[in-house]
Amino acid sequence: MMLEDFFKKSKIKLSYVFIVLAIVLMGISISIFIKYSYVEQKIIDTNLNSDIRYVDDITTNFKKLIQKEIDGNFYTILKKDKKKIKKLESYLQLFITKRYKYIYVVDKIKHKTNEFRFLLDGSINKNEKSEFDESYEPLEIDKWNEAYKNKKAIYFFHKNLKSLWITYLKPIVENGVVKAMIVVDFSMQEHNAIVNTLKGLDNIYKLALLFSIVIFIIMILFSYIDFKREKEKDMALKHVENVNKNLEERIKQAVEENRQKDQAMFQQSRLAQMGEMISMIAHQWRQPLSAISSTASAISLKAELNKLDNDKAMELSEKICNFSLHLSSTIDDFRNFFKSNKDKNLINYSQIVEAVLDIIEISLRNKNIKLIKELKCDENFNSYENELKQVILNLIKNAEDALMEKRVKNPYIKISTFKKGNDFVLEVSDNAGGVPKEIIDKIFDPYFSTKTKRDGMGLGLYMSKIIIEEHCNGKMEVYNDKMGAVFRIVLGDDSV
Amino acid sequence: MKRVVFLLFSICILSLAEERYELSLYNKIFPLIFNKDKIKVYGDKKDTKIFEDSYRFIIAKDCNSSDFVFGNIDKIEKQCVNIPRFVKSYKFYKNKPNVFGAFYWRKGRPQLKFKIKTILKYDLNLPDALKEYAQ
Repeated sequence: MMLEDFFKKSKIKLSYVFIVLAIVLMGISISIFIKYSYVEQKIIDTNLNSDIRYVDDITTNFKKLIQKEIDGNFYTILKKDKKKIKKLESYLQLFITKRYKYIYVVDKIKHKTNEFRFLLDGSINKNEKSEFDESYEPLEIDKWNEAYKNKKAIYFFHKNLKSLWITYLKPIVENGVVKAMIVVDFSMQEHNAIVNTLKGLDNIYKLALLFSIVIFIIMILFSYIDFKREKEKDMALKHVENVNKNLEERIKQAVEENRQKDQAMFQQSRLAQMGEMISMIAHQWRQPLSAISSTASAISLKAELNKLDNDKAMELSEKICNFSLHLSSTIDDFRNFFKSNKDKNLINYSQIVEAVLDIIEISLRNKNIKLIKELKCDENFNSYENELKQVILNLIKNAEDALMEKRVKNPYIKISTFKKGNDFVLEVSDNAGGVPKEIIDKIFDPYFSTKTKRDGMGLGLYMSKIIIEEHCNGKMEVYNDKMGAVFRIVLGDDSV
Repeated sequence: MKRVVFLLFSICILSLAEERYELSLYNKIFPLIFNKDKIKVYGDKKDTKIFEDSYRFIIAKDCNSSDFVFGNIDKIEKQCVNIPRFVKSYKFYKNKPNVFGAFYWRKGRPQLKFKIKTILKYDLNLPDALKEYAQ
């Protein structure tokens, strides 16, 4: 976890670390292997050289001894002096062991041929011992001739015996002429044992090197995969960022569109309310206007008949003034009713309901709709007064329209208020039969209306729900009871 | 112990190799010397055992029915003094007048030798390939 944090902070990619580690591991392995190979060769060479030096020392001593004992032609002197042969061979025998198997002295019968002959032989075993003057044809004759020609000591491995033996040839040179050659055949068994051990170790190192190569390849492969994965991750992140940017823009656009749509709907709703207000003003004004008209007609008639005295004129003009004041107060009522409140104020349901009924009661009375009031909640609460009035007016108007449309006998609209727990509840119900089940879930949707297009735009209930739930933080719902639809407004106490 | 086992193993391998080498050599040289495809050989069982599996050689029952005598045993010499003989040691090669050739190992190296005089005496053939071994 700490390592992960470190890589995140330092911005070093893990795949690069893997590659560096793999290269370092590989470098170390190769260095060790090269160093070992060098050391191995050094051990083999040192061991072999040590053997060769020992043999060289022995043969040098023999050479000195032979040269001391024989003064002249070796073959001629030895042929005549068998005792000298025995004496010299006894010296050679001293060095015969399992390792130094054959020690003997030969010369060439004729210088330009490959024929050699034995002069001295240190072998103890009778079957192995050669006779003086016995002709002898060695293997690897080229090496023998080379030693003869170069007059220098030489050694070589026996090819046909899997390098088990080495032959060492030491020419005895006098006055620039090779008089004879001391030959030592010695075993390589111990040297080979060392070589084999080293080769075994070499195989282990090779295996380790192979293993590190495999690890190197795997690490490179993992790094590549990790690198590719990181790249893909970066690309995916960029893609997600782009999508998010687009999404933000799209959301902003959608919100703006919705806002504009809402504004348009509010505008439409306002226009509809204006129409309704005009209709209601018309209802309210019809009676006073008719009274003014009839009073004015009475004045006119009395004036024509010369029966208009001052007192009567004063009385009738005062009536007209009173009716005009009533008209003016109606206009004020409507103007206040539809004015939007920016701040909440302390209100109660009874007061609100009465204000609404002042406007609509005449219309209901004219249509013989009975108004039942069950106002059981006079407690004050904080809310938007005018918005709430508009909603209640809308619900009463909808009930009135439904009762008129269905031509219900003994129509009534019931307004009841009560408190349920901390909630202030208002219900507007009627006996128009209720909202059909198929559409009850849709009646709060915008532009949904059961009225003909001339009478409704389908925005009244939608706007009412928006006002209650989004402005007043309340709840608005509808259900059917036995007689008809019940619209319920539930408001919490926001007076805190 | 390991060394002893290794040594014995090496000796076995070497002796088997030497025997094969010898038979291969005889298969080549004797048909040329006697100018025959099938050669009758007589000798001590120990010596002639090497020819038992060779299709080129027939083991003769006595000297007179053989082309040559093979081996180092002295008693054979007494009965077959006039039959050409091929021996396996320098000592016999050097001292016996009816010996025309020898093959033996000296210092781990194979030695092949022929006496020209004896070959001529018995009217044998020494091909050019073998003349370098003649003395």
